[in-house]
Amino acid sequence: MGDRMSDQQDLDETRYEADARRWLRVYPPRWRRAREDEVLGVLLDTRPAGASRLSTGARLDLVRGSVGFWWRTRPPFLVWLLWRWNDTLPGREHREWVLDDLNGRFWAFRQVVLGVPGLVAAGYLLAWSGGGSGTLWWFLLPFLVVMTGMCLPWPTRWRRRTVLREMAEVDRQEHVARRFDGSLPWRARRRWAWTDRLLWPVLAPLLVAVPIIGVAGWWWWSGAPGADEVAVIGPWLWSGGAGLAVVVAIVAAGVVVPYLAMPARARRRLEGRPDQPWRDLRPVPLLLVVPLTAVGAVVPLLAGALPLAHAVAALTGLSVPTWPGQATTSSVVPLLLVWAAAGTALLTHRQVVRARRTGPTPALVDVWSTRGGDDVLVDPPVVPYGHEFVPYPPAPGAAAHPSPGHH
Amino acid sequence: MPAPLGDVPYLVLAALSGGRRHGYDVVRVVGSLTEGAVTLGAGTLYGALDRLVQADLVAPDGEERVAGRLRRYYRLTESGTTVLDAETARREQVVVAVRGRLRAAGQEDEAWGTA
Repeated sequence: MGDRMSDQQDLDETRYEADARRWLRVYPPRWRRAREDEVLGVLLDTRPAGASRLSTGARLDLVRGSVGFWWRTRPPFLVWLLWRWNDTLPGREHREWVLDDLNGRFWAFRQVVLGVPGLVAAGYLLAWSGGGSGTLWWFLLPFLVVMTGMCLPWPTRWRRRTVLREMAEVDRQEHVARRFDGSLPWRARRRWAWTDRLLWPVLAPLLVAVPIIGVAGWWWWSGAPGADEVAVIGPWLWSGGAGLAVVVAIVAAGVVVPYLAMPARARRRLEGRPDQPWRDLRPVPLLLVVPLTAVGAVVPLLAGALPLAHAVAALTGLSVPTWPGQATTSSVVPLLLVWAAAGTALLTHRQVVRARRTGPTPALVDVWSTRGGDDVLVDPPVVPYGHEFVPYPPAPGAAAHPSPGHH
Repeated sequence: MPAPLGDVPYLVLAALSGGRRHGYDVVRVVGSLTEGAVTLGAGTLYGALDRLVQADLVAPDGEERVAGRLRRYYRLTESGTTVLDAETARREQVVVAVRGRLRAAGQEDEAWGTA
């Protein structure tokens, strides 16, 4: 009899513990790493006799506690925004939050939906909400396909690349485990500052070249066949020859940017790593996507396949050819947002920001000079990263740690 | 002048004023201090402890395993003691002021009753 009662009590306690563990999952992993066992002990100590599950009050208390914890330990909005949009690593005091973010199951989804692609999509949806459901779907379907494609097969590879790029300043994947823990390398990374050195080499060519090309295009192509059918909605509305000129200017901008980016990549040096200039040119085709997509937007437009042009151009985040007369003032405001987001994303992209003063020729010379030289591709020795345990909550004064961005 | 403490942090500090205690002990002491009026849930208790540790009013002070359950002990820091003293004095002042008002209100009622 006594044995049976004891068995029942053990069973109740086991069930209670399982229920408590389940409900403790409302807390973020960083909290559970530090507190789960301890709180579980308190919950078991305060278990009412015979209870095999948490009471509703206890569950609500845990939920309320988790919301409070999340609110207290979230990074400031601007820090979050820079991390999400520009991969700017938050300070060391947010290290645990970053680990949770990277390890989270929906990391890729957050990155896409809350990042620049999501913002661009939201802007276009707003802009086109009055443009007819057909237009909307032509945009939405390809967008969903691309977004799903970005979320499904790539997350692990993608987040590992992000972590390595942002925290370790290396571009190899083998150094970091599939799941990030306290041994995550948290190497200081130079943060981008809009100094003259960075800003003007990027902006000056765009500011000079693009208006010139645009005005010249307007002058020359006003009478071009098919020009009347082109309208571009941006912060302003261009139609006819002006619209065509703007599209051409966008294409030109898309050529200027990779031109600037190429030497930037080529001149990048990794500590203790042999030069591999040909690898540094890999992003150039990526940046060529912008002008190529813009061209792709124009060609079907002239051929009459207008809906496809909508979809393709929307994905560039730069141009929206549409029917003349369809543009309304309500379309302009959200598109300002889109242009700002896309422009910021493009101009603050590290490959662009790293634009140097020397032009692409030295990059090409480097590539030429190392052609066929397999010896430059020898991998450097793998250096294991030290394990650094950061307790949570950080001890008072922990903020005195040098922030990764401070040099 | 420090900002007034909320009820829960105040009670947690008060519970720790008698020496180092683990979480379950704090829950029990708070229950007895308030004569059962306040029963701290785990979420509330550890939310308060997180904040107090972060503010350097409370510090972890060792841990042990009892019957397989982790017990982490906490103690008041010097600044925690100071804040607890100040908060208690502030609450006493409020109590004295409210008592005075109640007494005055009672005298007024009596005066109205006799009039």
